[in-house]
Amino acid sequence: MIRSSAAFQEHFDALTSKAFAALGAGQVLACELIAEDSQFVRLNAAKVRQAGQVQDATLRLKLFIQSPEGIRNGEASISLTGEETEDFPRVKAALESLQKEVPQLPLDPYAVLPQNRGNVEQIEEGNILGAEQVFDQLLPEIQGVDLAGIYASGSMVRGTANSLGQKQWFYTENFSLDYSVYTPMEKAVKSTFAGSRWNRSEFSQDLAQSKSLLAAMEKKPVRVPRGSYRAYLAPAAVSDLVGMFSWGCIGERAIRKGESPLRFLRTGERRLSALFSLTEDFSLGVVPRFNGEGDVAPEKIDLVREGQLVGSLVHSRTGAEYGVSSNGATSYEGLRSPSMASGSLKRDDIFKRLGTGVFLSNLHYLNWSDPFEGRITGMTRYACLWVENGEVVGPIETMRWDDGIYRFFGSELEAVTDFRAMIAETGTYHHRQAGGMLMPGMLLKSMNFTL
Amino acid sequence: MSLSRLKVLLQEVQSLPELKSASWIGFREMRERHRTFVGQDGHVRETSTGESHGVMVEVFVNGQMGYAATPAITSASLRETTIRAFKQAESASRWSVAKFGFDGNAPLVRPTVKGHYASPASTARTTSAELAELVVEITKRLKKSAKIVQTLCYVDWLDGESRLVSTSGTEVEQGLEGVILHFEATAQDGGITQKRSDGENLQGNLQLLKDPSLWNRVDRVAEQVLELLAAEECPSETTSLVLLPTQMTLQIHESIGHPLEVDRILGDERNYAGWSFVREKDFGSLQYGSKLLNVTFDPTVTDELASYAFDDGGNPAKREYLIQDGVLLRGLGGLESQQRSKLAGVANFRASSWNRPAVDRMANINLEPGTSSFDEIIASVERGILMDTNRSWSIDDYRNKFQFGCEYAKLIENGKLTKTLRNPNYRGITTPFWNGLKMVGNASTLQTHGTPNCGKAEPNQVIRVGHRSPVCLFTNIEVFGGGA
Repeated sequence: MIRSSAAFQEHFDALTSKAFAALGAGQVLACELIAEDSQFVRLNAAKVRQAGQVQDATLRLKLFIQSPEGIRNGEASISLTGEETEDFPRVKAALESLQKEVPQLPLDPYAVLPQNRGNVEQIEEGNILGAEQVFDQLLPEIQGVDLAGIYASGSMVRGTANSLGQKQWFYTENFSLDYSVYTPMEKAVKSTFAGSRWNRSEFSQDLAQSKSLLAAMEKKPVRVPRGSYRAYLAPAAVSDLVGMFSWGCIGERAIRKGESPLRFLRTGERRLSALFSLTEDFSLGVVPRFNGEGDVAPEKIDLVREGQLVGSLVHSRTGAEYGVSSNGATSYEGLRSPSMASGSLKRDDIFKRLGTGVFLSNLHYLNWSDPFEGRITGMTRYACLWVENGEVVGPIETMRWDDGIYRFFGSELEAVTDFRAMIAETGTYHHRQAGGMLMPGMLLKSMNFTL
Repeated sequence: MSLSRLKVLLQEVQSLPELKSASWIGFREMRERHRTFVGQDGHVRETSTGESHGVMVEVFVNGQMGYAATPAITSASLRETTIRAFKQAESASRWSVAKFGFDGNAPLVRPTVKGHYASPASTARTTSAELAELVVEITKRLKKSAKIVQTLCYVDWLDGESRLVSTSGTEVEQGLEGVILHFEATAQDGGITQKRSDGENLQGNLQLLKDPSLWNRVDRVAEQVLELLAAEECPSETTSLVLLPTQMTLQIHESIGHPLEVDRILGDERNYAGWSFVREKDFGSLQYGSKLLNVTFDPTVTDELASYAFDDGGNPAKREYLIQDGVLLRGLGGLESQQRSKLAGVANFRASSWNRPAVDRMANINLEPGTSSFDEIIASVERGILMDTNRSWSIDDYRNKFQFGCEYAKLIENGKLTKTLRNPNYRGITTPFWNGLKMVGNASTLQTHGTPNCGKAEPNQVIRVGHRSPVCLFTNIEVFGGGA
């Protein structure tokens, strides 16, 4: 369906141009396109469980109708086929339905009309494996180890256009192999090998490193009693914690409504560590800078600088409600491309500085245990180790932890690594997601383990 | 698209020379429409409609299935898509984790069936404008005090259909209509914030949106969120715990439903949602819970969200006991998992949409009622906590160590409900927890709930599941409150 970025862009332009031509007086239309041409190969025991390809495209139309009373609006989304003869009748029917229904809806006092702020185009063509090549390139490499995971690859499109003339286009071709390898005792190491250009020897190196870490997991497991311990969180584990900022935390609406635990940081009642700085950083180039409505974010948005809350993610609707400037956030006001500042802890010093405590490669199933106070619970997962006097004793048995962001990023934060890792977004709910997080590791004075 | 037109499209691809070594081809067409209305603080925040429509093509070659999905349901597109699926199957068949056998011209895991299903017919009709006004009205009604700082209401009215046809002669047509309703109020006083919510996830009927009792429930949410602001913190102790069906839904889902999924037990899911503490040898012997624990897989309950006649592999759906008198009997494994594991299973091979392959999922997982009334349960407790409506959930990748939180709690003292408590949480380990099941409510305490957002699988899928449960009493449970 997506023969090339240019061909699909032409199709999108043709559909939206015809739709804009069908608008009446006082009507403004904003369109968003999400499309992909993907391959998925699911692996278990280093064999293929399921393999297939998905072509998908969804067009969302949002119609605004202005009247002397105010603004009404409504949305419709439809599947596209990539063929104009099939697609335009669908677009026309959806638009006509909106034109009929929206005048009947209540006024929306916080609706923000689209604007023309100029065009953004970001195209990255890759060199990824063909749909049948992947079996010959990947499967021979992974034999001899118990491996489970998902290989996902292909092209992804995000586009917007509005009837005032603004157009945005993001196209990328990439792949990810999100995998884990296992010992016979079911201890595991996790990795993600991702990029826009497949390189078999680089994948071999990545897998070799995972296998080498797996050797440490062969040691006798350690049952650590409940309690508070020193802890090192590797970048993937830190990405899970930082991901919680997207759950009603760093969004301006959540702060204003009193739901976000960061409201205490804004009022100065609580503090975070000067070692903690967080930025929404679109210069990483992994996601489009525009949101679904075509609002373009600044290249960098400082959110927390040396422990001080200096920004938040503001959607246009929140901006209208509270009279503040939007910064191109999604309606969800979650992080899309976060980077956390590095510190001074060197890789070679991690175990020595940890001393006696827990090394955590990954966390699992995080949720707020007290959303309004910022307390999070979750599990340990994959390569988590008990360390004594800087030496690895063995993998730990899975533990539950329950602790707060004002401790993780505040009172208990002892050091941040001088290196960072790009944690690729591998989510595929509804469609393949774009994105990633640039995260360092964190050394904590203490972390509470509860079960 | 009609079933007969889909059959014609299948016949067209069947004769393609490129597909002559295909053992079997199946088309699964799915179309789903949503109408979503969101109100916030007395205003409409979102009104949207959505339609997703396409075909999943499955091809078996050398005992391996390959798939390809397309939103273009034309002869040309389906020819191209079927060839893509064929090539995936052919290439993957050299590396199959399992080969699936045939019975005549049909894979054993894709039985040849004919039939249909439709949700209970709606007795209520409504317009978009009416639904938009309803969500706005609910958010206005929730705002009973200046301390209520945010009110929200969400209605999702869904209407879907699916059709299966295959080269072995399967012809299945199923339709589903459902309503998701959620409303909530957030209150704040000083540094304290609390939220209270209610809602429904049901198949069939819009009538619930027109039932006058809805407004009583709206009022109760507003009253209880204000009550929580002044409530004491849930104490930290090991005590008796009464869970209302609103929380039993989550408890059943996370600590019975997911661990019994046979594809998890087989390791398919271990890179994502996780593995399971349940092993193949446990079926027929593991004392999963106390003798009061009876759990069914039941896709036949009229109004539950995941009722259907056939799963997406064409397996006819019927009620089965998963756990009886506390003993684990049967897993949640569709025909593919049944063949791989040699375990008895159920018709739960389901896909979230046309663009995802089916895997083992929950459907309606229900805890069967016992004999105790609600009053008898409360009267039996000298000291304990009653918890209502899930707020937080987390469980390990083997589905053992869980921690769940609720919105609202009551202290039970000497057989009576006394003080309101805020930030109630509890934690435990799955089988000891269920073996602490001491009383099960009778049919008068049954409620039907569910979720539209059960996440699983690679590529990821969210799917609708239903859970029906009575009120239950558990003993020796670690409870605790909130705080930073």
